[in-house]
Amino acid sequence: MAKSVSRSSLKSESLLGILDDVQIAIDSKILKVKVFTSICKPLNGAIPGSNQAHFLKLWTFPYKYKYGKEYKESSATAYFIKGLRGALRHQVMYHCKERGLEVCHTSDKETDRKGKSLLPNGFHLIGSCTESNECIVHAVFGSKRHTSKIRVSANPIANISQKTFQSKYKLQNVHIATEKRVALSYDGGAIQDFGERYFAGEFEFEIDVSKCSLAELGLLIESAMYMQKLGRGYNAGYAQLEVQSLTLVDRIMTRKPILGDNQEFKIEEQISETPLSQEFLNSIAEWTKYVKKSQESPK
Amino acid sequence: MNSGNNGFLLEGRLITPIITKKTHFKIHGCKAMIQNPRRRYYTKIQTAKPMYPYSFICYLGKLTLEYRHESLQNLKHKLITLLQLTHLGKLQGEGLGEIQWTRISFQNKPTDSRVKIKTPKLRIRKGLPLKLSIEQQELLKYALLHDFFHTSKHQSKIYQEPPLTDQSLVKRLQQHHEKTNDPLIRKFQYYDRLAASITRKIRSPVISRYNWQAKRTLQKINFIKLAKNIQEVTNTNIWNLYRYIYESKELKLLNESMNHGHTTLHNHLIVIANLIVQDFERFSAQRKTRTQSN
Repeated sequence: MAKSVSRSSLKSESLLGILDDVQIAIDSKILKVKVFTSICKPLNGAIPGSNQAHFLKLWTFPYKYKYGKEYKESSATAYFIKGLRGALRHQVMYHCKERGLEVCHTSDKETDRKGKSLLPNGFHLIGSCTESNECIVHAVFGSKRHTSKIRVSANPIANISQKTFQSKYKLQNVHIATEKRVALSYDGGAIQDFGERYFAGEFEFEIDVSKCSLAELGLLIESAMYMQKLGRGYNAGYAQLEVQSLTLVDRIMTRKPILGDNQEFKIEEQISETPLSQEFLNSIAEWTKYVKKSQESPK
Repeated sequence: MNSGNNGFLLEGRLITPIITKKTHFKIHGCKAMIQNPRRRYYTKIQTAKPMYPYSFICYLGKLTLEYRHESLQNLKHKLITLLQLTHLGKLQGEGLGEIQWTRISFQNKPTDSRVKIKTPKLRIRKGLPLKLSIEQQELLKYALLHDFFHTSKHQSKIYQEPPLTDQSLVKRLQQHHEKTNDPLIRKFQYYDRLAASITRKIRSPVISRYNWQAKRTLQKINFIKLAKNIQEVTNTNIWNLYRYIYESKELKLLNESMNHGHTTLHNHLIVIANLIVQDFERFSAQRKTRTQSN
């Protein structure tokens, strides 16, 4: 054996045989949605001691970029995009209502304490359809004690001005800045002002639809096409989305342990994707059939 | 679970925060720990409900999973199940708890020979044991009735004294906070303090004798009727008295003391009775073993 091998690793020689044939392949069906926003504020809240409302901060990371013939180093911060699943759910709800289907609303109460109605027409209370006939929104998104079928996620966003940047993390480069707003003013001077972070540019999010049926997939595709808003301030002109492209992909992720230095195993990930264009069209056709059938014989 | 000489340590990097209250937890029977933890607060708003936004505590950092087992086949199966995971924790549907596995290292160490000392747990009984001597019955009766009588320290905790016919017992009960040479009172005071040390860990002063649960339901107790009922039950036997206190809903609505409002009077009385019974059982078991050895 080599001299660099430590005593503890020599003892574990018998254990190394376990990993000879370990290779894991995770198969999943993913719907990719590419979106553009002029200004978007999916904020997490204010940090104590500051007037600004921030995104959910993940981590700072180093990156390299090309400056002439040399490489220079710098750092940036990555943020999490919140509220994607909620925005999709609201879009799906109102899309079903337009087609004449009665589906679950997000609220579990009809009225509040003062008697103000919380449940609009054309919806029923969340989870009330589980015993009789489960609606399609409940089947996809679930409710309390009913797990949902889908998983909505996006790679973290960061603001890097250099176009030739290189980093080992998966990122989406967008423009991030703060908007200063004045709530009260007296004689031209601001009394109470606050800031809100926003981002702008193209970004992509993914919906894991491997558990969904064809009709459910069709519903998600059609409602994602008409997705309009994300984050706060829609009525004031913020948070407007423009959907650019939709692609359905079969993704196979393989994980395999590979022997590295000092008898330690590193786990290598590889991702391969194949487009599913025929299934994309079939699912929309299946969804239109489902709508016609439910309109003819309402539940 | 985690036992045996062989084991592995799986390391990974949390890309998005995982929702946990602590940095140490368990995943699929493995010990999980977040190294270099960075705390984040994930706030959530429900637009349909008029309510304040609520927040989850979550962490970012390096996650390590430790698993130990003697058989190598078991280790392999566990490793395959862990490597198939892509997300961990709550709110996976929103993209939280995403993980990227990075490294595996094997361990071949002997397990710790130290054995944890198990503290005896107090088991609360539905009814008292059938075999009880007269002395034991006397002590239990004294313990179950002691808070219903006026003393120099406090009034009766149900405001009314049950009208017992045995006046000598009433006198003894009124002296349960005093220093005396009476062996019964001395024995009782030991158990009273022991029960208080179990239940009174946090000081929380209150204004009224009624519990927060009673305030919520707006219930009121008829104390004169309660005192009469206790008197009727004590005249029968000790088993009925214990059963009555165990099942009474009224005693659950009263605070045990004004300085410690988080425990009920019902709980205090039953803990004392069970402590006494537990000690009887232990001593009787010890005696049996001694006689058998002799």
